[in-house]
Amino acid sequence: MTTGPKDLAVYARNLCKAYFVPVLKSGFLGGVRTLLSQEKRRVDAVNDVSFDIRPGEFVGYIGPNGAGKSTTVKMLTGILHPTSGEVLVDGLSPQRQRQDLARRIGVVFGQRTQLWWDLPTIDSFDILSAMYDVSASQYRSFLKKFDDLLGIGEFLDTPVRRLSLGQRMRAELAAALIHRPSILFLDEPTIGLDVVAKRRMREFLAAVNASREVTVLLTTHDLKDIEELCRRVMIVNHGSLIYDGTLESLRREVHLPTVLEVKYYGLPEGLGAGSFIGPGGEVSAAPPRDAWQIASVNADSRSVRVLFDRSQTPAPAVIAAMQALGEIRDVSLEEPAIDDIIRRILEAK
Amino acid sequence: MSRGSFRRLIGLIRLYALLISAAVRAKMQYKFDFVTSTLLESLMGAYDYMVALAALWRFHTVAGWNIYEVGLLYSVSKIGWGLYRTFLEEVDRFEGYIVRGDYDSILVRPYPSLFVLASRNFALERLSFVIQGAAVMVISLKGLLASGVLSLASVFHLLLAIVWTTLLFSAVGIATSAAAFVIVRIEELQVFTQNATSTASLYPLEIYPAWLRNMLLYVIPLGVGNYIPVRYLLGKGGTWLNLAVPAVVALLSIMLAVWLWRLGETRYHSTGS
Repeated sequence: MTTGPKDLAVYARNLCKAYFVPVLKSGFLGGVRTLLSQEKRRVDAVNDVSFDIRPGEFVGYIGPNGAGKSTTVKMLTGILHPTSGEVLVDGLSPQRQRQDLARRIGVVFGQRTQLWWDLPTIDSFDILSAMYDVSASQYRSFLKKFDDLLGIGEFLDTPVRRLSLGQRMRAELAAALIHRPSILFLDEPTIGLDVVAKRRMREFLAAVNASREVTVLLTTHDLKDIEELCRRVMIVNHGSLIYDGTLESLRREVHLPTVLEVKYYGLPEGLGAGSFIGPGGEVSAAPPRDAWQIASVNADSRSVRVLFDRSQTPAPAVIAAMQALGEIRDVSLEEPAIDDIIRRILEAK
Repeated sequence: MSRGSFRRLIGLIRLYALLISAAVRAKMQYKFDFVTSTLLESLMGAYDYMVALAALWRFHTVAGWNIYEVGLLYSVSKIGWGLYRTFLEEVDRFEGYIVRGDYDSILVRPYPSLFVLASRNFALERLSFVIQGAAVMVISLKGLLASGVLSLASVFHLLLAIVWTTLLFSAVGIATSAAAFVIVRIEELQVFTQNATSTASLYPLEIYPAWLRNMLLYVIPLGVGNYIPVRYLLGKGGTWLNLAVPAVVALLSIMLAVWLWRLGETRYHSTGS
């Protein structure tokens, strides 16, 4: 069986979005003069972005503010029209078949509610179930299932405006899934949530995607979301896709050192930040081959932090070299933080 | 109409009823605001009419129209404006959606965007325009039916004129708001295309200079909704075409406005998050 663009959850080719921002006129009849004016400024929000997402994937879409994440998501959901390029979502054109597509996708914008602000939460669900022609029995099982998974039962009678942010985001997620969409677009769903609420949200998202029936595209600034949920990550900067692959291969590609922290009973003599340790424990100022740099020495805790590349050297070899310098009380390993990896790749490209 | 599309229409009407009942319930959470805005709206409308009345009492007739006849023109326009504002209040306040980027959530729903937008509000407070217009109409009809100028058949045509006027106000409102997709701020434009013209259409077009009269007939054709049919019904000239033309112009205007809206939608910018 061949798979074409129509079999993919998302098919995007050479997607571009340029804004022609009219230079606003002020003063008398400013609005009318702006309308008649030809003066425009071009802003490339998304520039030649191509990717495929297969059904069942969980993809993280990250990048700094203003990189073009939200613009891409808005083109995929039919909100914005691309300046050029091709896009199909679940085999449909988000622009030409927007209303049909709306029945197959769920959307959560972390910063913007889709619920009826002044009414009890249950009213929003009632309305959405009517809007998406959800049958009465399906609706009952939805309420039951989402009470089990997200605990929405506890605040169904509370007006949306009185919900805590954590409760509201749970309600938003449930609302986005009421019509059983095959693709879920999440734009910063964990923004502003506390640690407990974030964890709950992540567990839920993992469960939603567990059976691979729902494809998820997640944009976020919280890289822990990405680490815990996404098998694949796409990084966008200045409107261009600069990385698309698994998190593991991103770690390999970027090569940030792992940190080994060693605590001694007595701090060995002659160690300083910037010096190097060889495999036999020999200390040198210049970098010889097969040596690891010392990042810092802390006399108070009698600890030394040393950098090494995990893809080149197994951790025990480094520990052995450190052991040669003195008796070790404790060791700990720190993997390069995902934030640092991302920062590195954003700076490099 | 096929069975399928009939069922779809029924479904749409039911959904609309559900959505506006939610909107009204939400509004009733702020009863004080609702009551005060309704009262203010009525007072200002009444003041408006008082000014016109004062002018009429002074001169008895305006360009050959007596007070009841002007009242008929006035009421058709006022009721049409009121119905437009009641049903399409969110279209009228569309600038806010563009400024805040709230239009996003309209576009992810599986229905025509104007339908979703309109169903977010049912502006009961704007019914004050309708009530005020209806009051003036009743007084005018009483006078005109008694003097035999109008027949009961003309009352039916007046009701139709209200429908066309409502559609024309809606078309002008939709077309004006569609400009917000491009220029964002449309308040001044609305003053020009809606407020000024709707006030002008309250009175006989004879009192205006030719350019304004032509504008109200051919450019922003609000005069076609009330002046053209009412003029014929009152025996002030014209033929039966005066009753047919408003229907054609109103329907064409709505089609043009919806087309402009769709065109504007492709230029929607949204806002950053």
